[in-house]
Amino acid sequence: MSFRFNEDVFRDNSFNQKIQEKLTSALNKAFREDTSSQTTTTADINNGSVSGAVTHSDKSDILKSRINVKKTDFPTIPKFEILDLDINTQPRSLVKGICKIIVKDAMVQLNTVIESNLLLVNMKHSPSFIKPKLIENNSLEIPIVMTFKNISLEAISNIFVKNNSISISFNDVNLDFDFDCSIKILQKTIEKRLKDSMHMVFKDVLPTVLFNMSQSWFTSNHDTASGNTGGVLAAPQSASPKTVFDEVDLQELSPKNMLRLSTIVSSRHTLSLHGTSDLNSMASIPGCLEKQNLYRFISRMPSLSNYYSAYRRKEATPNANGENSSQQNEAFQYSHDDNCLPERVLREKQYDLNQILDIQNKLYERSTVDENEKPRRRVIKLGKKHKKKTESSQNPMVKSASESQNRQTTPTFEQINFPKTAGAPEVCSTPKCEVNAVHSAPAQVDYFSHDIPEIAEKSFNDKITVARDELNKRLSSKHADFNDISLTRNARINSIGSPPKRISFVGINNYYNSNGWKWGNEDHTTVLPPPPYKV
Amino acid sequence: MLDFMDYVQRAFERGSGWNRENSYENITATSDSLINFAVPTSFKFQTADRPSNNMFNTMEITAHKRISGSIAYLYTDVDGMNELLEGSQTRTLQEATETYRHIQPHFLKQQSQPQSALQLRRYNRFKPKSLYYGRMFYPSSILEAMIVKRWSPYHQLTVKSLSSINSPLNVILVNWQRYRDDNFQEVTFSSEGALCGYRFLHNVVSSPSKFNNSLYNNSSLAVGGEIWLGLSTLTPGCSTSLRYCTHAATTGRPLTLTFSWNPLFGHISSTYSAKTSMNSTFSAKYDFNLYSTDSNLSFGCEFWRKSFRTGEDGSVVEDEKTSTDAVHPSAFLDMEKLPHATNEGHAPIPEQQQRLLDDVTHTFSSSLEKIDKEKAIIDEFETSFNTEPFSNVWKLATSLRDKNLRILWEGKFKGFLLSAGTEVFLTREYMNSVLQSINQDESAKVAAQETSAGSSTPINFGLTIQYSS
Repeated sequence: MSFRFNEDVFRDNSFNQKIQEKLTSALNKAFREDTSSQTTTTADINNGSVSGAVTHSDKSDILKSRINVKKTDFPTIPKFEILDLDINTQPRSLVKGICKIIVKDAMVQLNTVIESNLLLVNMKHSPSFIKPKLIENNSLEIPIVMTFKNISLEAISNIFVKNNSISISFNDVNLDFDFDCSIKILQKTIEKRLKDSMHMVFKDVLPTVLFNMSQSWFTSNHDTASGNTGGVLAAPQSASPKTVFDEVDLQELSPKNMLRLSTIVSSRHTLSLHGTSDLNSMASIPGCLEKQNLYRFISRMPSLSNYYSAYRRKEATPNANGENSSQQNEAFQYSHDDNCLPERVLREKQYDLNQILDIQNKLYERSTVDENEKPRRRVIKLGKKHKKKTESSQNPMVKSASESQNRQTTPTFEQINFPKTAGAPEVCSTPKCEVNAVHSAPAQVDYFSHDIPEIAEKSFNDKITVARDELNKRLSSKHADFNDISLTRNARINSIGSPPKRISFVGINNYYNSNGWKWGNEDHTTVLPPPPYKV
Repeated sequence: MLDFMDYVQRAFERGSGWNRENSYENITATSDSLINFAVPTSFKFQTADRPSNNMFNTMEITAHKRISGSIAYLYTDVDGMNELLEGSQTRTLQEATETYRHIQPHFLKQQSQPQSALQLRRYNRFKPKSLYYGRMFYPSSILEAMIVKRWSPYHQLTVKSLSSINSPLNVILVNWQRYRDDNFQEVTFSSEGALCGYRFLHNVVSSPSKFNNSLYNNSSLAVGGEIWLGLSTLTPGCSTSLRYCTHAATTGRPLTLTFSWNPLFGHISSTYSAKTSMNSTFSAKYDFNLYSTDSNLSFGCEFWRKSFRTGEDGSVVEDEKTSTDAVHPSAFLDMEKLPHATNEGHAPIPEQQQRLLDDVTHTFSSSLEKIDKEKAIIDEFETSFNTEPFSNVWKLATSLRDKNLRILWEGKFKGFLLSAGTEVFLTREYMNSVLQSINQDESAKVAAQETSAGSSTPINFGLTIQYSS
């Protein structure tokens, strides 16, 4: 990831004009607002961002005219300091950054016309039946000029870049300004109210506005976004490869980054992942797993679906219609993280109970800290009719005996056909989202990105969820097939969860699968921290 | 046009001996009825019925973008309501509309002196009277309720409340009024914004004028003021007003001057309303703000007309009446002379006799007689206006700053009372503000902006039909 803070935007006076225009339009969008609307203005100014419409549900129409931004002055370039940048930190965000924003000596002057007869404003909407008739209760409109001088903002903000949005939270905000109002009576109250509501603005309003704005930018067309932020190069909509860099840009970028990116790109073209990393190690950086090596890790994970992945291919059923089959294909491709037996295995009775047992043991072993703790199993009696479907098991006595052997003979899962398409978009998603993050970053920022078929990237997550749902549906609908398998619960064995509930295994795959893969501290030689069982 | 329930309420006030003109609220009622009259904004049909002498109900259907309606019930224990009230068939238009109201507290007192015994008796054994009113709106489910109580001849208590299911608008308004010894006091509390108000009005009793230009003292002067404070929002309001009503002594035509001042917001307004003839009334209002130096000049007028069928006879009668009305006290002598002059033709009186007769008339036309004559002129004008069978009235009002023209036509047609009005706007902003106050929601405002974009002079039109048995 790389981006540039474009200072040139602030150098000439056009920035001030732009701010003035944006402020005027934003303030008048919420025309029927109280003076509290001005709080948003200062906040927006200081962040240099395009202000969104903050709609207060204040019905008082004390404002009699538009709010005109008479003057804006940002003499110094806002400083934007990145204190910390963390990639793959949180399960639901791609990048986490801590930034410091400093704005100094800014000035904004607003003028508008307000209604001074508040009694008239308050009584305007009351029905005539209970409205006392007042003599000479006419309106008196007073022009008001408000000047904010010496605005200085120092804020430390956390920026979380997600797949489809950015969320920003302001942690440590120091905002100070000199307020000057043309009506001196109101100056103190307005100032007090502004400073009171400032807290709310930074805690609540601004993050919401930025989040919504980034969401709309991520989902809607990127062309307008690139137009707004100037130096931003939008990722192309189509999947076709396209060069988005000029020669000038390439000179400014670090060659090391470019080399890496080019290998990623070439690997995408050839569908070969060999060039991107060392074959023998999971990660080029110790303690990190790169996305392109993810399939390797997953394939080493003991899982029923991995083991039986050969059966996940769709059997040629003549009655299946087109739509259905396409969905099935997707399901087979992306549901590698389900620890379930493929349906076909059960139907064709290809499963080997010992193998399943091995896998379960392995999973359990990974999840428990105590090596000596024995897995407790359900006892399934075959032949009885019962609606519940679970992992089949055998007599615990036999189990424990076989366990010791199985620990030594770990089944290899390397030969499975791992879905190839799953890994590749994941690789790309990280820089992609950073690109989008910059769109709504407050300052004018240049960055580079490479050509990524963003459609594939976007639809990837959707497909996963769709596929999972589809599979679950199918499994549950095929209960009739498992009628010959039934189980009797054994309380002694089944102490993992409360007996009546269905046990679902939550392994590493399930736990971290949704968007990010968090196990950066893990070395490939050590055993994973135990994934918890969840009921 | 007066709502039927307002009409009943006024009848109740008359029946219980309460003069609403003494309220500070109505100090500018005359000019308001001429300039700031309400123009109907929707199609409204109202039918009223009285099942008994004390019970009244009204059904109303309004069509403004969507059809809504209301049912109202009113009960009062005032005796003889059937004498005070008339159905729309027989009610005169003067009673049915808000028109020039000549306020004369002293004049009424002097007038009612002959029947003071009756009044005294009524005051002595004053029975508490009350009025109960409820109105339900559909489908908006808004309930209006009002209770008016008269415990003594000097007090009136009004409690109004408004309650709605859907919106959080639930308001109660308590109003206590007192009128005694020419002083009117009123305390109001509204739960909306915890609004408190105090109003007072004093009718200045003046001794007969020392100048002899008008022997009969028919003028009245009232001074009043009000103070308001919204406790929850701490929004103050106040105003003070002065009203002077008099008659042109020569023609007996009433005129009213008011002067109001809002010291808080520096607003001054003065009105001058005059009934120039039997058929026409004019009013002018000048507003000025001391702080912003905004000013506004408004004009209003109304023209009363008789129906076309009776127009010919009516015009003749009217001409006669105006000729008699126009009699000047000095010309009164000529009037006296006139029969003699006509008699002269038949039986000529000798010149000496004629001179003697003139002297006699001079000496006997004492000041007392003059007073009676003046009073008679005023009374006659008043009664003739009240009994005139007008069939319709046109009201026009315009304002220079707002650049609008309001036209209202009210009339009687086959027992129905009709009121049709329109408002023409020449500036867009004012129209938007008016439309917004009418519709009171955002969607309508958007619609208003759309219409304003389409036509440069948008027109607001409404019709009200009222029938009461």
